[in-house]
Amino acid sequence: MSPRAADRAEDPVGALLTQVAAGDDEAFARLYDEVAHRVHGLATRVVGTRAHAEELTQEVFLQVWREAKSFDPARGSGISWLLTITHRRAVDRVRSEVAQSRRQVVYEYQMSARETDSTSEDVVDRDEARTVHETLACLTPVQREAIELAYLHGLTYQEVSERLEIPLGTAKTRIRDGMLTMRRLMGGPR
Amino acid sequence: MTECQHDDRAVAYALDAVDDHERAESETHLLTCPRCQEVVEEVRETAVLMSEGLEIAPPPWLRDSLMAQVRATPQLDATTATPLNAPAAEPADDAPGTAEDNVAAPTPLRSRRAGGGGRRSGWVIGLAAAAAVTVGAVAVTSWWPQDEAASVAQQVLEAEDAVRHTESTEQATVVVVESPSMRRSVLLAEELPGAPEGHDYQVWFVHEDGRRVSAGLLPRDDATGQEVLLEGDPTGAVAVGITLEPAGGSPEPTTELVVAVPLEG
Repeated sequence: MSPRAADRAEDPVGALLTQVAAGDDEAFARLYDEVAHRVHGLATRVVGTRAHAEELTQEVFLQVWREAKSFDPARGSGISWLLTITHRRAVDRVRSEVAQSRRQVVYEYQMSARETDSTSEDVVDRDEARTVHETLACLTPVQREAIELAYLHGLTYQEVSERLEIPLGTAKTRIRDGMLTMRRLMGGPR
Repeated sequence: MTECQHDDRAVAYALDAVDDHERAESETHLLTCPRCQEVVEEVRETAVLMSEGLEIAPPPWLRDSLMAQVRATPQLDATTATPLNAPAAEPADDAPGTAEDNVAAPTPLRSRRAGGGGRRSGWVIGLAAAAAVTVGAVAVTSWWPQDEAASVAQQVLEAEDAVRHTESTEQATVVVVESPSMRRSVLLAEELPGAPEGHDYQVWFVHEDGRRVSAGLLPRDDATGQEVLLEGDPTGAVAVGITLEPAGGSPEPTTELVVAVPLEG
């Protein structure tokens, strides 16, 4: 068994969540100031438009307030818990019917970016995309592509394999190997 | 993240790269597999890296709006909150403060028909089955004890911000009580004729963009006069609709709405 996240030295977000769980609304305000830009950034990247992201960010923080008691420090860091909530809600939203067309746009963006790697009129801001690429630069291009389609565009493994025209098993392997690489780079062996 | 035949599924689940069916399967598996729980936790920690560099400050009004809402919003007890950390392998009832914070002692929902309460068990099982086809709902109901569902319904009905919506047709009068802060709602159908053999009434959250998200099935042969906790989050829905579906429910409505209760205006 590898050491749990909670064993790592500090988790200020987790500590704030524990206070929020006790009904402390000032702690909630501090938590918001600490992490709102993270939540909103991920929400914006996944759902693609500011208006939807603002709605989503509100929903996430309301859920955090209501359900802070279900945060368990033994099971992960505070920021991981928050972004898990954010990501799930964002993905659920992206999968709505309205999002179908946007996903097509994103897909076309992916494809054209592969061909030209130049300008795009897509809803996804290119500066944001570039930053992500820096973070994910450690991965092989095919790993990065598969992980981005899954995590940032909200596709299922099945959809990833269809979009990339690769077998499902290959999609699984690319994503798993990429995540393993990222984990190693995150903090070395834990 | 090695060695287990379920690993890929756990990784996919942690990245939300699963469809609703796979999500429900994973959540069931995670209940009994500490190994996969650990995989999920590790992948979620790692995924934090992927949102670095994406930071965007939300507009200032959002903070003000949230703080105002929070002051009026009750918090849920740990046992009723969505287990987003992955399902707990062991009960967390030894946590300090849990006892006094517990939701009111489980009380069966008031039933306007004698004997109605006895069928709740079947209703909850039906809901669990329906969860497999539910679009976008967090699968909480599948392991909720029935009394807790009843207790949550009671909380919704008594919530400070509970709003009541009513719609009458020739066939039925349907009341929906929604608590925006709890993000739950309760439905009461009166004078609804019994569902024909081989069919169930299914409830839907209808969204502005036309999306219809299942909110579970009405209890068979006792669809009327009973307060039913709807499955899923009503936030954003503009109406609650009821359709008649083949027994067990459908992923999407296959028939016309029997009744639609507007939630706005």
